[in-house]
Amino acid sequence: MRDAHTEAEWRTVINRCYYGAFRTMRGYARTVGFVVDRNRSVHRHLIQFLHASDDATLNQCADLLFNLRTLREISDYDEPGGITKTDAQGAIEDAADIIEEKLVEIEAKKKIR
Amino acid sequence: MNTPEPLTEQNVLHNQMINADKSDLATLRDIVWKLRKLDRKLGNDFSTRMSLQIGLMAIGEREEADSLTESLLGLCPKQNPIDIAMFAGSLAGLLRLDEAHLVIRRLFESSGRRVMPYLIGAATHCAALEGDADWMAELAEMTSDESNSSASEILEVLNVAELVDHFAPHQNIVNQIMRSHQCGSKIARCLREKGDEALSVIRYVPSSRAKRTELQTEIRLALSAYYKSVGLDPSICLSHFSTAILPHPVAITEQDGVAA
Repeated sequence: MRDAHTEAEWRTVINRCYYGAFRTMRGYARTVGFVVDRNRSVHRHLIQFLHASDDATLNQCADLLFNLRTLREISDYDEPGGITKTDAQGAIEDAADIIEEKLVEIEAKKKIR
Repeated sequence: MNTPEPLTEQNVLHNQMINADKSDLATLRDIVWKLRKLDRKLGNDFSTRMSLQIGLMAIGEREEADSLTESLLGLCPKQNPIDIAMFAGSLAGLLRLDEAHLVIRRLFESSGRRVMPYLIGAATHCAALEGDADWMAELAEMTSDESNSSASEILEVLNVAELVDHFAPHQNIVNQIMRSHQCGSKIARCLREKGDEALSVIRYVPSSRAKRTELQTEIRLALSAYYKSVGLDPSICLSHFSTAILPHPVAITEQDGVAA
């Protein structure tokens, strides 16, 4: 991020953050019963699956993934000027939170059970 | 041949602000400082005060921006329609939705329903935050000849998700929670993948990450309770239509929770 100085670079950062977080969560979700329905949007479906969980940490992951998906949509489709450095920084924090914090927390809870 | 009038100081500062990097706090603060000085010098100049309000929102000074609303509403009649439409956008961003609605409706009446892009944008923004499906339908009708009408897209998503009837209560719940926290918002985004649409309303919050997480959790729990109370599955509803709580464009520090 330190080397990202242009909007094009911030957009790339956001795209990578979303897909990194999405793939990580999809991988985890598959281990606990998430089935990919090829006729539906796996992106929205994954968020629905995480929202439906009784685990508050997974519900928070749904919120973070929704934020990231929204930012990714703007960064991929909006006209120039719509993305700021703060958006990219926020995307990094959200993705890192999912991958490095929340998932570790979920795994730790599983071990305790 | 008419010589165009030179740009006023307010025009110059407003253009600088619009073109500035939205996360460049130092530049934005400098522009706001100049606008503040100009506002004092000119007294009750609507355009300058409106630019100052937009500038204050741009640097995350929500309360001060909001404090200018009453005087701007007093000065509002007989102003340039584009300025009024921009003001309506700020009002919506500050969640002063009743006032924004009124200002936009009056402007539609006075401009004889001449469709101005600024006004349509402000109206769609306001209707999305209010959750006003009837107004959104009116706007969709007015923009029916446009290939990418935001109002039509929003309605389409709500229809697909069968959430039209829950648009207003949903947004009302979110607005109650966000009332004193939101500083700017972005028109709803439609997320389209394989025909499985979702709608996202973006709200910017000039607070720490911890505070934003707290607000988003509060919103999720309140909406889940609402959808359960009307016999719907919250996980389906929230995956189709939700709020993205994003950091305000100016940098936020985790430590003090204010613009750094």
